[in-house]
Amino acid sequence: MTTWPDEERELLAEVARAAELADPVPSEVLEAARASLTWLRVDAELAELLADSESAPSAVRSEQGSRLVSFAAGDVAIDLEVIAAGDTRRLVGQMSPAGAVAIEIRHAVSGSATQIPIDDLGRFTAERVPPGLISLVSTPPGAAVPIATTWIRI
Amino acid sequence: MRRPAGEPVVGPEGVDVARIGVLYMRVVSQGSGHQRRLAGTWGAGGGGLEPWRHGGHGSAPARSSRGARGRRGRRPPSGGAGGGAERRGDHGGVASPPGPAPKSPGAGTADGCVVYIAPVTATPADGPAAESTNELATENVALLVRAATDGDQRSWNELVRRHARLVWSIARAHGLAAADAADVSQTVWLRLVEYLGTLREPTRLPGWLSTAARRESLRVLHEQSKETVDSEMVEQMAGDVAESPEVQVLAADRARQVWAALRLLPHNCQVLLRAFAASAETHYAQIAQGLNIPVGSIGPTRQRCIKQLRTALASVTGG
Repeated sequence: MTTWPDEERELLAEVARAAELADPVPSEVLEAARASLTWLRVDAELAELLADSESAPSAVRSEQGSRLVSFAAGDVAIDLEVIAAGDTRRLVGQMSPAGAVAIEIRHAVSGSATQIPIDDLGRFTAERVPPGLISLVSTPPGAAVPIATTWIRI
Repeated sequence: MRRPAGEPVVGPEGVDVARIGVLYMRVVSQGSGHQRRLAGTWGAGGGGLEPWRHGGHGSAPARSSRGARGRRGRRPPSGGAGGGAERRGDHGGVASPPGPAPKSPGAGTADGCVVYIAPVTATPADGPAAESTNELATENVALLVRAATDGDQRSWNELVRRHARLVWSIARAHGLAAADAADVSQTVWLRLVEYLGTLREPTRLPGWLSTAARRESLRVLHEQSKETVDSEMVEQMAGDVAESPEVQVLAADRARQVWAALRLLPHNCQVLLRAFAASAETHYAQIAQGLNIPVGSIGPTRQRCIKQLRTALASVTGG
């Protein structure tokens, strides 16, 4: 990349100064960023987002107004329905293949991780989940490592 | 790992030496020859401070004739033992004075190396420099990423310190309100934690973060535009920063003008200029790529945005 002329550098330095005065990074944003490491799970396999009705055209959305999200890691799939319930959310999920007995709901904003039971058909439900970034962690039957869904904002 | 003179150093209990002005530190030998211990004294200015003797290695402990008002224990990056933990004296943060140092009157035997840090200029109290720990501020980013992948909080904190402004600037320059930019920031950092173990090129972290910040910002804007039929809401939000109270109390008129001029630019220029302003020049190319600017267009785009900023500045100042 070509080098910058000095007067352009100086102007950019003025932009930096102005931004630092007018719009510095809030300390709570820094704190939240630092706290993110808490959620590190190097032992887990990442289950990527395959589909999200929220980012699809409106015609695809569920008629009840809930959001449908699908994650997958290899052969394991987690489907999640996010239902608005006033100020909170209801989560109705399905993990397949079935067999895991519990799934952990990680909630970034509250810093909590809650274990939810999974029935023998792979279904689970969580009530009154506050809005915010969530990630689900569970160990599928016969798996060596747990899977962790990529963070989504509900 | 030498640090240029003038870099702020965090003193004991997190005291920012930048406010104090001058830090004199002395490395004394302690125990085995591999270890050094730093003793610090805070000075109020350049005059009236006692010089230290510059010496070689020795075994007798040195005493400070002024009494150390502060002591900085050097810790290994993994955040090892508490106060008084030692590191090698050749690691980071301090530079020896040129030439022989004058003898300190009444000081102890002054074993070990004498170090001197030049006076630092004041930095903003809550600026990123105030948060830096001097061990890691010049650490290689690949090592920081690896240490963070092992769960080292301090290495992670240093990664945040270096890049938080870039992520924030990109989100805000997309026109997001502070609360939404905070959400974008949180999502981006959690995304990094998810991918920490699989980053192929840690040196391209600024580009990676730029891409993540841009995508998340666009996703939020897209969601918000679907929620309302008012297509001008995005533009209204863009105005929120310029009208924020902070702008009214900017110390320098010039800074206020520059800020007002920046707000007049199209968003893609605001994003590019703020992202560059938040970063080292060596990262500009990967950041521009992360912001989806084709490699061949980076120079012309940059020139165009600078030119637009100059024009906007002229209209803000000249009018």
